Formats: sequence, C-alpha cells, structure tokens
Amino acid sequence: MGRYARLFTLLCKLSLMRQMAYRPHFFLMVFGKVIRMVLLLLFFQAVFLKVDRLGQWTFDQVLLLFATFHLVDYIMSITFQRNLSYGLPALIQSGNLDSRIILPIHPLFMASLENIDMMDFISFIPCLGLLIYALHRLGFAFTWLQAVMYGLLIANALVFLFAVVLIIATISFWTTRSTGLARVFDDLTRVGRYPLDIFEGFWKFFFIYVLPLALISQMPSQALLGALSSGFLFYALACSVLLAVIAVRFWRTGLKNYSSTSS
Amino acid sequence: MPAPFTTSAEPLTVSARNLTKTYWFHEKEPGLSGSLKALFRGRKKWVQAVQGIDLDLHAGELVGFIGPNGAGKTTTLKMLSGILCPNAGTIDVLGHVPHRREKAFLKKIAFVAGQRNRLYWDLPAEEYFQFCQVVYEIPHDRYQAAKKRLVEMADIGDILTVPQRKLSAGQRKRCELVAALLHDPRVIFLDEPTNALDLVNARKLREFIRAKARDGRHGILLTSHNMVDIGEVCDRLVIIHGGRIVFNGDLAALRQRFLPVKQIKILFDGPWERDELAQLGDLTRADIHEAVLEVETGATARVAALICSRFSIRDITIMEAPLERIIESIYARKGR
Amino acid sequence: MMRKALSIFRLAFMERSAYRVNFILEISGGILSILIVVFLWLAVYRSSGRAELGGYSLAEMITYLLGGGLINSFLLTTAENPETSQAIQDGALSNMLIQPITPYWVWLLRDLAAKAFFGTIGLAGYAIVSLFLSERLIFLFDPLRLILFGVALAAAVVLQFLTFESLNLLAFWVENTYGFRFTLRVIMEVAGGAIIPLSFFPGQLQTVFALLPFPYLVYFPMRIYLNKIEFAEILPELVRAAAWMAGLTGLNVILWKRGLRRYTSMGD
Repeated sequence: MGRYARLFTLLCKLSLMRQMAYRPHFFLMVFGKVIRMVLLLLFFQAVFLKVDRLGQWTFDQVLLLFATFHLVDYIMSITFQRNLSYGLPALIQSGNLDSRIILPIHPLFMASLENIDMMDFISFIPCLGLLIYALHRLGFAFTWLQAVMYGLLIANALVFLFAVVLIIATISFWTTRSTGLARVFDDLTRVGRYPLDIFEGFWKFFFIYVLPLALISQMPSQALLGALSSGFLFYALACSVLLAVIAVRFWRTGLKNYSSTSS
Repeated sequence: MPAPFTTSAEPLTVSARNLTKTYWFHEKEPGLSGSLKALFRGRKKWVQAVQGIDLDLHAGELVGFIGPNGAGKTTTLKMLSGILCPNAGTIDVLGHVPHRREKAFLKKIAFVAGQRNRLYWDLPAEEYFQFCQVVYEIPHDRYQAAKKRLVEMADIGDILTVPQRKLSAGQRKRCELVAALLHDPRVIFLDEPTNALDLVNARKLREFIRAKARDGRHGILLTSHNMVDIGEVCDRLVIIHGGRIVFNGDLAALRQRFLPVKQIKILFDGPWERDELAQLGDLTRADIHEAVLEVETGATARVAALICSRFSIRDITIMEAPLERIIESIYARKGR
Repeated sequence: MMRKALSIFRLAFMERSAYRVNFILEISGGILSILIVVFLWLAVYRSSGRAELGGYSLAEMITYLLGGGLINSFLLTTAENPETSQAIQDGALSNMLIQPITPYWVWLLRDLAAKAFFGTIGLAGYAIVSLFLSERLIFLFDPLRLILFGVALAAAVVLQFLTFESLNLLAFWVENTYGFRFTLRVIMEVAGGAIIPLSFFPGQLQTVFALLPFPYLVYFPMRIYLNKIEFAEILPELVRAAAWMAGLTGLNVILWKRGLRRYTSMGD
C-alpha cells in the first residue's frame, strides 16, 4: 500500500512537470473556470433578487450547496474524471493500454490516476474560499459531528461518482466512442448545483432513489446544516459502496473482454 | 510441423503449446447501404490469427520470430506477455500463466512494442526511469547499478535530461529499451525493435540487444521484418505464416531446408552466350557484362570451374543466397 | 463556385452524421441541462408565489429557456470546433492552401454544415420536449416578428462564428487556443442570456454584458420572439449587431492575412 502512495506522489510530480510545458494554456483554463464559477454565482444572486427561498433553501444555504458541489466536482476533475472518461477510450483505441496493463500494478490505478491536473490546484483556492464564505454567512453554526459527517459524505460522493464514471468508461471496451455518454453524465450531474427541492414528486424521488445524484452535494450540505437523518446517511454510504463494487466488477469484465477480443 | 528445436540445454523460460487465437470483427459492405445494413445485421467474420503453434525459449537464447504482415507475430507476443488471452493452448513463462498477469510474473518480463512509446513525450527519460523504479519495486542500489550499466550500453548518457520530444527516433527507442530493462526482466519480448530506425541507429540497437543476450541469463524473443536483424542477431529463427509455424531452427538449417543454393556472380570480359550459361544453373540476372547464377550448394565448385573454363570472365564471386530470397520463397509457398 | 461550396457543405454534413449517435447523446445532454434549468425556474416561481417575475410570466420564461436552449445547442457545440486551430497547428493548412478555395471559406462552410446538422437534431429533440410542455409554451404567429426573429438568429449564427473563429485564428501565434475558446464559451453561456434573461441581472452587470456581442446570441432573438421588445427598438439593435459583425469581420480578415503571412514564412 505504501507503494501506491509513493506512486501517487510520483504521478503528481510527473503530471505537474508535463503540464508546466504548457503554461499559458493552463492559466487561461484556470481563469475560465473561475469566471464560470463567478458567473454562476451571479446567476444565483439574480434569481434570489426575485425570491428569498428556493423550496426550503435560503440563499446562504444554496451558497453552501453550490460551494459543496464545486468542491466535489473539483476533486473529481483533477483526479479520475478525465483519466477515465477521455483517457481510457483513447488508450484503448491507440493500443497504448497494453503498456499499462503489463505494469506490476493494478491497471485500474493507472487508468484512473495517470494524469493528475496539478495546476488546477490554483482554482481550488476560490472554491475553498467560496465554501468558507458560505459557512461564514451561515455563522459557522455546526457541530464537530456534523462537520465529520460532511467530510464523510464528501468522500462518499467521490466514491459514488468514481463508480459511475468507471461504469461509463468501461463501456468503451465494447464501443469505440463513449464520450457522448460521458457528456450526458456530465450534464446530468450538474443537477447537483441546485437544491433538489426544485423537483417535485416523481423527479425528486428519482434523483434520490433511482439515480442518486442527491448524494453529490445535497446530502453533505444537509448533514452540515443538521438536516440529514441517520437513515439517509446510511443509505448514502450503502449506495456508494454497492455501486463501487458493481463498477469494479464491470471493469474487470471489460478488461477481460479486451484481452480476449483484441488482436 | 517441425519439432521444437533448441540450441541450448538451459532451462526453459518460455514454453507454449498448441497456442490458438481467433478473433472476429463485423464485416461491412461499402457505401451507404452497407452502413445501414451493418447497423442492423452485422456479419461476423472470424480470423484465426494463430493456429495451434508451439514455441520454446531458453535462457540465453535470442530468437527471431518472423513472418509476413498479419501472420500472427505480434498476437503471439502479446499472448506470451499476458496482454492477450489465448483461445486454446497452454503457455508457461517462468512458471506463470501469462494472462493472469500476476505481479510476480509482470516483474520478470518486458515487452517493448514497435510503434508505441511508453515514455512521456514532454519528459526526460530520467523521470520515467524513476517511475519504473517505484512501479517495479527495484531496490535502490540495484536500480542505480542497472541504470548505469544500461545507459552506458545504450549510449544515452548525455540525453537523460532531455525531453523525449526533442530526441530523434533512434534515441527515443534506446530510452524505451533502457526503461524496459531496468527491472532486469528475465524474459524480453521485442516487437519490431528496429522499425523506423535509420541504418546507424538500427545497428546501435542491434549491438545493444546482442550485448544483453550475451550475458546468458535472459531469453529474448524479437519480431522483425529486417533481414539484418535476423541474420546478425538471432541464434534461432522461428517463421510463422498464416498463423502456423513453418520453420524453427538456425540459419544454416534454414538455408539447407528451403533454399540450398549459392549465388555465383560473374563479371564478363566481353559478349557472352545466355543460353550457354543458363544450362549450368538458374539464371536470375543477366546484363551485358554481368550475370548471377543460382546453383545447388553441392555443385558450386564444379560449376564455378566450368564457368571459368568456358567463358571469358573478369571476376567471379560466390555468395550465400540472400536471406530475403529464402524468406520470400517460404512466404510464397503457403497454400500447403 | 456555388457548386464547390455545396460539395464542401455536403461532405462536412455527412462526416458529422457518421458519428450521429455520439452527437445525439451530446444534444440530449444539452436538452437535459436546459430541462433542469426549467425545473429550477418552476421552483422559483412556485417559491415566489407570483405569476410573473422580472416581467416574464411562467409560460414566457419556459419558452425563453427552451428557445434559448435550442439556439445554444447548435451555437454552443460549434463553439468548441477546433478544426481551424488544429489545421493551423498540425500543418494540415499547408495542404489546404494549395487547393483552389481559400481555407477560410472552407472553415466557414464546414461550420455551417455542423450547425445545420446539430440544428436539425436539436430541433427534433426540442420539438419532442415541446410536445410535452405545449400547454406551457408560447408560439409566435406574427409574420413580421417571425421574419425579424429569423434575421436575429442569422445574426447570432454569424456573430458566434466570427467571434470564435477569431480565437481559432490565434493558433497562428499561440500553441493552444483551447484555453481562449473555453473561457469565451463560459462567458457566452451566461452573457448570451441562455439560462436567464439578462434583464434579471443588476444594472451594472447588464451594462457590462451590453459591451459584448453575446446578448445578440440568445437574449436578443428571444426578446423579439416573446414580444419583449418594440419594433422601434429592434432596428437600432440590428444596426448595432451589424456593427459588431463588421468589426469582427475586419478583425478576422486582419488575423487571417497576418497569420497566413507568418505561417507561410515559417515553413511550418
């Protein structure tokens, strides 16, 4: 296990070195991402100029939700998301996956973490800043337990998202292009930016129990606000673990298929 | 099917029996109607890439694995290294079943693909070597020693800190090879190692491979199109054609079996009679002043003497039949 | 000349349709995003308890979002079109230069083909969605307004192309234009008015947005469609849009000429 930790550190270093070869490009990307966040914030502000609640959520609470979503999204995109959604199909197509699977480490490790977006740490700062600002507006009114649950549910969200991204990426073992599906998924998870109260009845149920996107930012935020029952907490954890198990099994099947039907 | 032929009494490092690999793909008719049809009713076409072959490799051997494009060379190599799973047959490499890709197994082998580079484009080789050290868990002093030795052998000492994209193809290839050998693999698979290299760089690479093979502990299996690779580097030759092995032995046996001829090149002093020369052997080339005659190996001396006595010649050279001719004739024979 | 143009257009269109499943999925993703925004506004109206917000009734808002989404779907997807940048960077431009048609026109035609393709798929998708929401939508019947709406859409298409193509042309000088295009696309999403009518923003922000050509992409056409803008105001706005087009065309011409000079002198 220590080896994987060392490997991860090394991959971070190598990724950073490779990225620094394209410095101007990177700064623009960070700028673009920050602008996007700012503009969306302005959007929310504009909405809240007309109303003072979205369902049960006040502006400050929506701010927390928004910041939480971006935090999760940020961690996901600097680690596994691009590697699996875009990197893996490319590796399969080019045949370069071969050189990864004969390394004496778990192929899933390289497939998920070979390229870490190190430079994006800079856009982590406004993200974190927004979170702190949101908490400040809420008066830091949470207990230690709630904070721990928040952290736990964020980790949980990442496990959930990893599983979904992995399942979609594994499909590319059978088809040549799964990027369309990855894009749909991207758009769908953006639901996490908004409080689920915007949906009623059927769709609310759907996003909690059928395609639990509520796990991403809604539940952690609720936990921090003290509004999450332990029932939901266990449900959230169980969901992710179950999905992760399914995803890894599916990945193994995909890899086996690759070994059997390639040439 | 020729029985496995070994030049060495060393232990078997690779042993494959009855290896078979088939795969299928969808056949598509050309044009728009073809696309539409393919959408609903794909016609599967089966290809037998490798058909029940046997292969052995011993420690200290350098075996060349050749065949025309599509003969199944790369597929076989991928099966031996564990990338692909055979449809039938057994493989034993150093006591492991390759396609299980056990960690212990992977640490003992190396696979260097012909056209694809592992090393990162923007980074110097040095960085990737460090990566290899961590991945293969190479102890520090062994890593340093291996690196020093390999870098010297490959002559890349002064380009270790240069990003790959600034290097020539030959230099990159040598870096790839060093990276692949850092963990001291006992079995090395090389897929077309001198592909796309110019003469000088190909020669350097060949020397490197030969030096590696000389220490007797490694088994090296390489595929190539290049006759010089095969002629100069390999101890033993395995020829695969249409998914089957058609020859397995050394060069002398190859010549003996398939084309036991020698070539006599004659430079004439003046005009000469074509028919007269053609009586003595197989006239493969005839110019105004020059001719090449192919003659059975045993009869060379006699024919040469006859030529010298019957014709007015300026020079006569006796050569081995070039390897290409032999190999071509083998490829052409398929249909049996 | 016309025949050449048509054949380029047709070829590009067919190329796109070869990957139609992928594109259908991408468009579906776009439709999904807009539907989510629709849900959001439904909730906002619900929460406010009012029938009208910012001068827009619920029906008008939903129409606005769907219309904006449709426009965005075929504008936005081609805003990602890296063809021009790639051709410059990997040298494919060299091959194009020896052909009897200026590369710039080729890129324009190919972009139009892409827009036509996406527009068709998008239209089909939104038509289906509209069937489900038909009681809540507003349909425009006034012929004059429809024509003006069409003109505004055409202006939007041209403006978007010119804006992003000028960024693409930076490839003559910069190694990677993705960062520029990404940033502009991000701004375009909000400043174009696709997820919220620009009038909802505080005054200062609106002034800032008005300095850019983006309001002409979604906000302007949709305002015409929904009768939110008087006839008298439409003309001056169109003139401004035309001014933007002229300016951007000029910019494109300069970038193209200068860039080409640089490209051919460097033997890239």
